[in-house]
Amino acid sequence: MLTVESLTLPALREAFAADGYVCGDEIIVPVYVSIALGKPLLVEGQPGVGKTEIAKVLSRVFDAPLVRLQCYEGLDENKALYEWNYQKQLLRIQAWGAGAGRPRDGEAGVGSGSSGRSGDLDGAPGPTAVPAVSDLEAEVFSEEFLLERPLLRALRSRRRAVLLIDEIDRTDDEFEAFLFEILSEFQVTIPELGTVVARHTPMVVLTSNRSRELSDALKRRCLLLYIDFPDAEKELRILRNKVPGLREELARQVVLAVRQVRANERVRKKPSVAESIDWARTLVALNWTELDGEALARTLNVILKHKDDLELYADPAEADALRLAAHGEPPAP
Amino acid sequence: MTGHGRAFGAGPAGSRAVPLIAGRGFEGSLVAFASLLRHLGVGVSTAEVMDAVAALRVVGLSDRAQVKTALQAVLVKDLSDVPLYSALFDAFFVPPEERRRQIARHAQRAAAAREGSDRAAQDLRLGDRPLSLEERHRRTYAGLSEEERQRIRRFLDRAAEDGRRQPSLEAIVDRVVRRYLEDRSPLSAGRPHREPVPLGDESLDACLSEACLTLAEKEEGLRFVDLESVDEAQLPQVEALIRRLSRRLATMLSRRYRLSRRRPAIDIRRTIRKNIGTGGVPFRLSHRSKKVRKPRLLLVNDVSGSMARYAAFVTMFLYGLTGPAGRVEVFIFSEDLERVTDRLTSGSGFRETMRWLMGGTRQWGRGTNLGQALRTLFRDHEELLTPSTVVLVLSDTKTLAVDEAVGRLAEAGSRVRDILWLNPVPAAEWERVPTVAAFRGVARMYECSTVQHLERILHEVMLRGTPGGPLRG
Repeated sequence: MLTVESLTLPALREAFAADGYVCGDEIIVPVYVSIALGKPLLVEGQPGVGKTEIAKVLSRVFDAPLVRLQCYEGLDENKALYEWNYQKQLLRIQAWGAGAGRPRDGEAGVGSGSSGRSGDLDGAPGPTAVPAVSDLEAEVFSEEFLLERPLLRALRSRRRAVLLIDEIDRTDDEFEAFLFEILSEFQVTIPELGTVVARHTPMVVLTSNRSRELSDALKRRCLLLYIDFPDAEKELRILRNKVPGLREELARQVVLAVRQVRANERVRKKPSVAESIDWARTLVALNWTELDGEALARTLNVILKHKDDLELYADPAEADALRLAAHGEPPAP
Repeated sequence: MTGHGRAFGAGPAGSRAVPLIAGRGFEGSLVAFASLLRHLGVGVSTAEVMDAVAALRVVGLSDRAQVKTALQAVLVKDLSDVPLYSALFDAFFVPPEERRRQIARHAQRAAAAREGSDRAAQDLRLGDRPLSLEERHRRTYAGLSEEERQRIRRFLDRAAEDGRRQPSLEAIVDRVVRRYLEDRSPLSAGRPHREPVPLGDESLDACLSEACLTLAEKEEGLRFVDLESVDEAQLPQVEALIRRLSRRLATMLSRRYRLSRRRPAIDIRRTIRKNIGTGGVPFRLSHRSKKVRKPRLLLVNDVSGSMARYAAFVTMFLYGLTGPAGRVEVFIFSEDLERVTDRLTSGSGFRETMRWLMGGTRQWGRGTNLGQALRTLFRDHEELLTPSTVVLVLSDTKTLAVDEAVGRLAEAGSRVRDILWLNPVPAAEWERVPTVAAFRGVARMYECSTVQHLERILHEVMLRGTPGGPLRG
């Protein structure tokens, strides 16, 4: 098992290979440097080239818990960092009210607001309730009532965690700003509890599909790794790794066909590595042994996700060019 | 640091090892490298340089490919800078003997340039009297095609004959030639790339110049080639590049994209739904977010002299971005303004766009008057100046009626979302052009002479709404 403290580049390379993640130094070196420097790694690339997978592999090879924060528009601190368990707090307050023998309408007023008036202001608390209320306040804002969200969980993890912040480009600018404070200090302040400092600096992987330009401040705090489509040889190795039962010849044909589609300027959505894996799996499941015209016609929708692209390859000339490319032959003149 | 001395300073001297700059050491070399990157427009912060030092401490210097990858991860945060970084890395981390060769080659190129300038000084005379020109004019002359140089010489010969009869012509001849050369400066044809502004350090300058040369030769380097100097052979590649980049940017735009800034208006339905868990008590408010509308682009192209070529490239890029039904309006101006939006279609190549831009226009080959052009814009197309409009002015700022133009631009600025000025003159030379300062007061000015510049600017405009902070490059 790898440890961050004794990590070396060859060891990391070997661990990634053993885990079945096929890549070269262009990926391993930035990953290694980011871990060694304790800096977040921002991974960019087309969808489906294995960006998220890096965090998963790291979690496996370091035997570290994977904490994932899926970003979306409108994501805020409550969902990302921490939240107070309101329902539980309310129950505790009600239980306290019942125990202290307070009048029932006073209880309903605490916090729920449904009666439209506040019990604290309007109701007359008993003379002995004042110190108990401050106790209660301290209690309901204790750790027991704290809901850890991914960022806090990664900071407080007993073991070094891998924190995956997926699709950071989907969040708002404000959240991005909030995030880079955490990412550079690895600590966060909760007003009621104090400052939480990371027990172990988590390994942070951020992914982005570049649908929005990230701020320079965030980029500056991260190392940038761009993952491109793999070359034919690497993609072949990936297929061999990921698709059991795939015959060598068919694997080769899939790789060549996918590369032809990617190289076609008229294709709108280029098939990703994930899609070529799906395609190979489909072919295996359907017992195709060769990528002939019929196999192509029946399964091409696994890699082509756009109507225009499907129509493009419905054209016999394009389909034939693809079939020839899959068999490593130059297209007919 | 001492602990690393053995591992990094001396390192295995194999062919894959990375040589440092003599006398600068490990950190000094990195600092110099970062300063060169900055010089070429890649924003590198001090914190990133420190990270680079730390990164090399863990990676070592023994494997060139690893060092290159590690430094790239730390120093280059914009993918489009990667070719530039790569060329600079290859030119920078070289053994001393190669550095000496670089310096020699650089000196040779400089000598050739000087020779051209000397010849220009000889050619550019009115009879026996040298014209009153600056060095940059002579450089421009040296970069012109032989045909154009001949044209100027013939003009001077004729003027010399006339001048003998009418001495008062002399001053006019000076002005005409100067203006002619300025129209072409610094966009001289036939120059494969724009020489970077020298730093004054022989070895670093040689390295810079070498990197820029390599870059210009590579296909990916086309991004960094001055659009004015794109030749026939490169044209199809540049067209394909523009098409690819603009389509990529268009794909990003087509994603659902909403304004991220919170709006004061509360969205009741969402608020209640969000607070069901708290019995409907609105603990967390949801605010209405407004869908971002892509800005309407209004492109005002200067088509006088050498500007027409830039205009065609920029127009191609915009059309690739917005599609035929896109919200883009294209105007050209020289002496006056003309709307050409209806003549254009998307997906056209350079020549077609050029034809559309210039075909049937009365503006070809005339003087430049932005003031008059803006007056016409206000008079005839006032409805286009809305708060969602971003005005892009493409011009080298050389115009008549500067004061009027500045005033009108300021007026337009109060009515539109933003005014961006795309200036093909390199930023380093802006100081020397007085009109630049005047226009910078009323528009954000960006250097825009390459596909790379263009892509960056539009990326910012379209994906961020308005460019935030200074653009690099």
